[in-house]
Amino acid sequence: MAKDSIWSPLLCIFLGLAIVSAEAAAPSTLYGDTDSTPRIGRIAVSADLKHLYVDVTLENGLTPQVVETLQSGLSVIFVYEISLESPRIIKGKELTSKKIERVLSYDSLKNEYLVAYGPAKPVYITLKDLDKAGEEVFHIRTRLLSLARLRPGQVYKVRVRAWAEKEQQSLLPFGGMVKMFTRWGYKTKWKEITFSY
Amino acid sequence: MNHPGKVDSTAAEQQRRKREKIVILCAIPLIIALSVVEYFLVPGRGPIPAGGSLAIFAIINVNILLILLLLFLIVRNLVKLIFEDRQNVLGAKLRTKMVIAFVSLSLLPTVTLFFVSYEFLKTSLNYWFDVKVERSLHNALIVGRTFYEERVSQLQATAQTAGRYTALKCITGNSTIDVPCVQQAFGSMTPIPGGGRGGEISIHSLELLSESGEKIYSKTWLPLVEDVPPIRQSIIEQAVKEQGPVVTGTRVDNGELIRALRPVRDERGEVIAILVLGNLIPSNLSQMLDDIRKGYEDYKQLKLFQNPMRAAVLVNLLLITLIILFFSIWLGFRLAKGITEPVQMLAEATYRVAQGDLDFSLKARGKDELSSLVKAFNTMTKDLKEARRRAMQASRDLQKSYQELEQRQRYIEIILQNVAAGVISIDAGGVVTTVNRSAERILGISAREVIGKPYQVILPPDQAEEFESIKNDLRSSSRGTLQRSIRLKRDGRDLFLIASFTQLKDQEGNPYGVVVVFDDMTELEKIQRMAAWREVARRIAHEVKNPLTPIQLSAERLRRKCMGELDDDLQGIFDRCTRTIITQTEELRRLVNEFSNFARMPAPRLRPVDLKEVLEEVVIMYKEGHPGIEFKFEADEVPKALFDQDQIKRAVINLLDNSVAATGEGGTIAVQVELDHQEETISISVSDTGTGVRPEDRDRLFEPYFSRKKDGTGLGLAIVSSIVSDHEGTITVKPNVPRGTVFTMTFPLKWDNGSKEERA
Repeated sequence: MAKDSIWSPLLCIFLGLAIVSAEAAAPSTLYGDTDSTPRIGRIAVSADLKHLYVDVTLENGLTPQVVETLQSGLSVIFVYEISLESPRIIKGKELTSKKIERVLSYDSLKNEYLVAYGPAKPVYITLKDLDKAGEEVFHIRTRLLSLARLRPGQVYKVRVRAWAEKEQQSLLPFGGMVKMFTRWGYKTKWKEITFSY
Repeated sequence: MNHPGKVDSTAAEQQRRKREKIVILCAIPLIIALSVVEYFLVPGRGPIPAGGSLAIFAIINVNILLILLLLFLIVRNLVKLIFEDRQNVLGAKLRTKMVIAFVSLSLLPTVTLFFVSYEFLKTSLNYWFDVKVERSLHNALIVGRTFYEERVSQLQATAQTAGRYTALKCITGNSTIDVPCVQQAFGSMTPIPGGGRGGEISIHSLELLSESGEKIYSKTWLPLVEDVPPIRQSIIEQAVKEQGPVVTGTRVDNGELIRALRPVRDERGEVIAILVLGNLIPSNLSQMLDDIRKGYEDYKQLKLFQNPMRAAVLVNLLLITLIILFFSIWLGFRLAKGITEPVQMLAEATYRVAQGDLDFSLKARGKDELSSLVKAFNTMTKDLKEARRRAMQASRDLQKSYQELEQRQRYIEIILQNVAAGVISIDAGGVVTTVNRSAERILGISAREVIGKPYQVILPPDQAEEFESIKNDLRSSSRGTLQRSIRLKRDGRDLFLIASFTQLKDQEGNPYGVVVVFDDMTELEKIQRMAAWREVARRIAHEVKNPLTPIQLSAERLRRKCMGELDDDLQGIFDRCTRTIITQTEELRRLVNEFSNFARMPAPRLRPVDLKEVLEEVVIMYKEGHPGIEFKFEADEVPKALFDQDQIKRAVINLLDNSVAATGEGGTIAVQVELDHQEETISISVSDTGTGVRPEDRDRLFEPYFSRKKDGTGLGLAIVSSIVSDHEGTITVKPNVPRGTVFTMTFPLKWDNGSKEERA
């Protein structure tokens, strides 16, 4: 009798803890290569006289979850991770890598979207149209490195992936815990192209 | 019932406390480390404040550890309880009951509170996300948005109108802006009338910017604001690109300034300036609009994170419930322990006290009733210890007294056992209680056989009657002591005892029995009688011997003088008479000589004697004297011992004389000398195949003047007995088998120094 009275709540507690652990440990959504899932679209490498540039497009970045989050007033951060490697037998040698952020937010009163370029020296653009705002966010062009660091005839690899994060909803009750229990955001797979210099 | 040995477990308790501290010290860094690890492991980490997440992880980890600890404690305590219950450890059942009661009492309200709280929160959440609320918020947002858009469209319209006017009137010929014209056109007017759809709008700021964003002209009608904040370059660039006015909002001290940027183009369509008109939404209004927006966004966020929030609430509730449960169960164990431990301690202490261990004291903690009980128990133990100390002291004293008494009793017993006199005690009931060794020896009885038996059973009726009369005499005696001489027959031998009867009385004077102390006076009497007979013999010898010579001489003279003068008849008579006188005188002389010898028996002069040689000579002499009798002589190798040779020789001759007299022709007489090494005695036996001795005569054989022979003086065996006594020996007479008599003289072996060395 005593055993039941002690073990029954413990069972409940453990089940609860199991749920907590499962929720806490669950990864955010990793989208595969389906038509509507976010993915890295076009990667283009170009150069001027001095530098190497990369153009990247994120496709299907505006998922319903992102849109819903934006309309709730929260900012969504899109992070692009780009790296340039010199391929080797086992693992390529990373020549450079950088992270580029685009922050998209929505003002429900003014019914307009604000795109911030960052993270260094942020630039803001206000747009009325979500698709236009999306174009600003999902198409990036960045200078990768100096051409002097590249050797002619050598093959290089550009790897890109992107993910979305939401701004912390600080005003929500149990904000920290809510974040833990929210499967929010996505992360694309790495996409890579090789080119010969 | 099982009773653990130790009650005072201070050392064990301290060790346990130390262990717990170590566990806690290890747990704290573990919690921190786990929290940090989890923080970095959990994906989707955004701009969340790191401290908040860490705190949550820390709380979860603390809870997990607490749960594990709780589990460990519960399992450990349950196992311990079950084990102790099976082992019948004192207090285990009580603790089990108390733990069950405490856990049940804590579990019920906690779980109830958990479910009620959860239901309550669920209801509240449902209420938050009610459709009406959502609709109201949305409508409020639409209203706010409409107001704002209306204000923006009016401002845009005004900016459009103002832009057209400026383009028409205030551009100089070289395609530059005419600032005074603009100043004149708009600087003195407030509010600037709106030219659009929504009627008029107040213009609170006017700016004229170059294409690159440099300020050409600026005028504000804003209260409390000297100058308007600059516009972001990107907005300016956007305005240049756009055909229509671009609107931007800026937060200022007294509200939100909405500004519409209208590029002013020359005839060629080149932007030569940007006209910026601003309208201030007052603080109260802008605050309201912000509130509407914020309320709507908050609601949308709440709705967006409705399910995670439910989970967070549930987890929070769970955590709180777990903490409450942990503490309540822990408290349950603690309280149960607090009650049962002193009880168990007391029970164990009682067991130890029952086992006789009083050298301990229980630790009284707190000031409650149990503590008072423990203190009272300690006082009781202390008193018991003191009482036991006294009792042990008394016991030691008693034991000492008992030992002394026992020693004294043993001493008395030793005296009693070794005293030459016989001692017999009889209790008041007539039961024999004590018989000492001398009494056993004298009376020829065994103490084991008579002790515990009433004297009426032991004694023959006549003696019992006699003892009864003695008892009666004792009672009537004032001194309580009587002396009696007693003659007894033992194994056909007469015993002469002098007995002293003393009545025993206890402290109150009640009769306690009778103690009889007696001495064997048989030998003494014999000696006395012998001495008396010697005296008689000496006197007879002295008185009779003197007249014998004159009588004999006279008779011989008469024969010599008168024989020839008498006639034949008288001569014959005279001859017979004188001869008779002479013969009888000779006989009397012989008799007197015997008496004289008996009376003058000297003390033995002990010298080393070779008995074998001496006795062999005697036997040879008798062989020659009595050829019709067979004489045998057997002797062990006897060393020279101290004897009076003449006396021993005489004793053996006396015995041989008797044997010869008793044995007829064809008989056998044997002399045997034996050495008993163990007893250290030498015995000389003279046996014959003669007529033997009648049993009734055996006791009197050695008395002087007792003889069955016609011509016997009755002194031969008396002399033998006297010689044997003088040599501290004994003489016995037994019938010989198949007939005749055996006399055995047994002497203690006495060595002279030379013989001893020789023997060695």
